[in-house]
Amino acid sequence: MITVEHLCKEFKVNKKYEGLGGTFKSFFSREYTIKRAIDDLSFNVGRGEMAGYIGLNGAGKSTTIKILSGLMEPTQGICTVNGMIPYRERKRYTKNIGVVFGNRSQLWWDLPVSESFSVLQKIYEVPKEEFSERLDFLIEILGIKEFYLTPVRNLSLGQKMRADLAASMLHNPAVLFLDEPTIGLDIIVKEKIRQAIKKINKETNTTVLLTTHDLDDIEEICNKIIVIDKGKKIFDGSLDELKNVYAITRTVHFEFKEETTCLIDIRERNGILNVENEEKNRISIKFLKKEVDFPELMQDIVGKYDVTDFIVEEPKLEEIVKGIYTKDCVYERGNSYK
Amino acid sequence: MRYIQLYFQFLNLQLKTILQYKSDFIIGVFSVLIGQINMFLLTILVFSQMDVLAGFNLYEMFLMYGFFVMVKGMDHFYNDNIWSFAWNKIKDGRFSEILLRPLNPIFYIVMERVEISGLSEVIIGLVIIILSGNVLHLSLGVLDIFLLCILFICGLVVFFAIKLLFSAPAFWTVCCGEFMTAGIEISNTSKYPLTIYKNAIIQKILLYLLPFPIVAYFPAIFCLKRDTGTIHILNGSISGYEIVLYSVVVASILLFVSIKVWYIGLKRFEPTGT
Repeated sequence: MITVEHLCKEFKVNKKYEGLGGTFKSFFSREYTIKRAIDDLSFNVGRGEMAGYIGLNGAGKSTTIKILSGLMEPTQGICTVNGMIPYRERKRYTKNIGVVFGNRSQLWWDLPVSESFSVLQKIYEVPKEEFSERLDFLIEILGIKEFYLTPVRNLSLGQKMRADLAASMLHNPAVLFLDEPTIGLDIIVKEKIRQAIKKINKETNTTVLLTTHDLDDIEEICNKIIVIDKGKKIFDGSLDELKNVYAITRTVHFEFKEETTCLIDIRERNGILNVENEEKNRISIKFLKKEVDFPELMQDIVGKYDVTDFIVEEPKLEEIVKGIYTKDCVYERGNSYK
Repeated sequence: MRYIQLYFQFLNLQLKTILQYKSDFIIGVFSVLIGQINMFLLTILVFSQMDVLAGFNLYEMFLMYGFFVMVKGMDHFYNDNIWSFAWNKIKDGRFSEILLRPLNPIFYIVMERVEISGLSEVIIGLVIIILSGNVLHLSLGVLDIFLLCILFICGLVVFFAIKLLFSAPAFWTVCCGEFMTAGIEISNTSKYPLTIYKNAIIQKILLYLLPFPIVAYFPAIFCLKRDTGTIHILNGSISGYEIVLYSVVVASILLFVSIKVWYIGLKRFEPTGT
C-alpha cells in the first residue's frame, strides 16, 4: 500500500549569523548549508496495516508525511501510495487519502460541524447514500452526535479532534495519515480516538500511518512500528520484535522482612546492571536477560535472605524507545550497556 | 460543472458565516460607502478647478470612474481571498491544507471567501454609469451592451490575472502582501484617461504589461464612441470593435502568463513548519 524506496530529502538552509548585524549578513549572503531531513529511507506498509511512525522531534517524521501526502517532492528516491506517486498526480491522489494534523483543524471555524461535513461531501464527490451511511458510522464510533450542530469555534480540543478525524474519513480513503492525532488530549478522549481508529481500520481495512510521541498510541493501535532517527530508519518491525530486540533487560523488585543493604555479592556478578536500595527493606536488581540465569539468581537470594515478596518487570515501551533514541542499549550489536 | 456546484456550496457557507457576524458586514458596507463618497467629492473638487481633463469632462470622468468601481467591486466580491494567500496562507501553513484537497488550488482560493460588501461597490458603480450615461445622452444598442459586458469580463480578467501574478512571489518569499499591494495600487491609474500619462514607456506598460486601462478607460471611450487618439496600438489609434478585440487578446495573454507563473511557483513550493 505504501512503498518507500531510498527516499532522501534535502533542504537548503541559509547560513544564519547571530544578532541584528548577523541577520543583515545572512540576508545578503548566498551561503547555505544542505540539511538532510530524510536519508535513504525505505519501508513498506501493507494494506490494512496500522503503522506507528516514531522518532524524536526533528527526526524527519513530518517531512515523510508531507512527501507521502503529496505536498513535497523528495530529492531522491521514490514512494508510491495506493499505486500512485503522491506528488505527481496530486488531484487524483488526494481523493483517496485522508490526512489529519493534530495541531491544525481542517474544519470551518465559524460553522457547525455538520456544515463542514456537507462541504467535504461535495469536494470529494461522495454519493449521498454512501455519505449518510458513512456519516452515521463515524458519528457513532467517535461520539460526535452531542456537538454535531455546534460551531467549531465552541468545541473543546478533544471534540475538535474527533470531528477532524471524522472529516478526514468521510470519503472512505484507502490510506489515512495521522500526524500526532492525540496531541494535547486527555486520557479519556485519547482512548476514544484510539478505539475509533481501530474500529475504522477493522471495518474498512483502511491503511493507517500514524506519527506520535505517545507510545501508548502505538502499543494500543499499531501492528507495525517504524523508528527513525536523524532521517534514517533504525527499526522496522512488529511490537513483539521491538521488544525481543531491544527489551533486553529485566528488573526484579524484592521486599525483605528486615532491613537489608546492598547485596554486595550479587552486584559483582556478570550481567547485573544495577542494584538499588529503594527503601530500607526493598531492593531492585536490573539485569541483562541473556546473561543472567534468573532461576539461579532467585535461588541464591531466596536462600540467603528472608524474601517476603518480589515482582519482575520488563521495560516499558517508553524506556525501550528512549534507549533506542539514545543508543545506550544496543547490547546485541556488541556494544556494552552503559 | 462540478466546480460551479461547489462554488454555490461555498457561497452558501459564506452567507451563513456572514449572518453570524452581522455587525461586521454592516461595517464593511459602511466603509465601502465612505470610500466612494470620498472619491466622488475629490473628483468634483478637481473639476471645480477646470472643465476638461485630457479631453474628458466631469460626467465622462464619472462614467470612467463608474466602470472602475464596478469592476473593482466585482473583483473585491469574488476574488478577495487571494490577498490572504499573498499575506499569510503559506506562512501559517493553511496553503498545505488546500493542496490536500482534490481540487484546483487557484479555484479553491477563489471559492474559499466572498466579500459581500463588494456587491455594494458594484451597485454604486452601475448607478454612476447609468446616471452619467443619462447626462451624456449615450445611445447604446443591444450589441454595444453585449460588447460592454465582454469588456467588463476582460476588466475582471485583468484584475484577476494581475492579482494572481503579484501573489505568486509568495511561493518564493512566503509572504508578499506588500508587493501585491503595490501591484494593485497601479489599478488606480485606470480611473483616469490613459492620455494623461505622457511618458511613452508608462503608456506602453499600461497597454501591454499591466493593462488596467481595460478596466475603465477603454469601456468609457467605447461608450463615448471615441478612439484612443494619440494612444497607438500596433500602428494607430483604435476604436469600437478593435477596442474589444484588443482587450480580449491582451487579457487572455495576461491570464495565461499569470497562471503559468503561479504554477511555476507552486511547483517549487515547499510547506513550512510541521
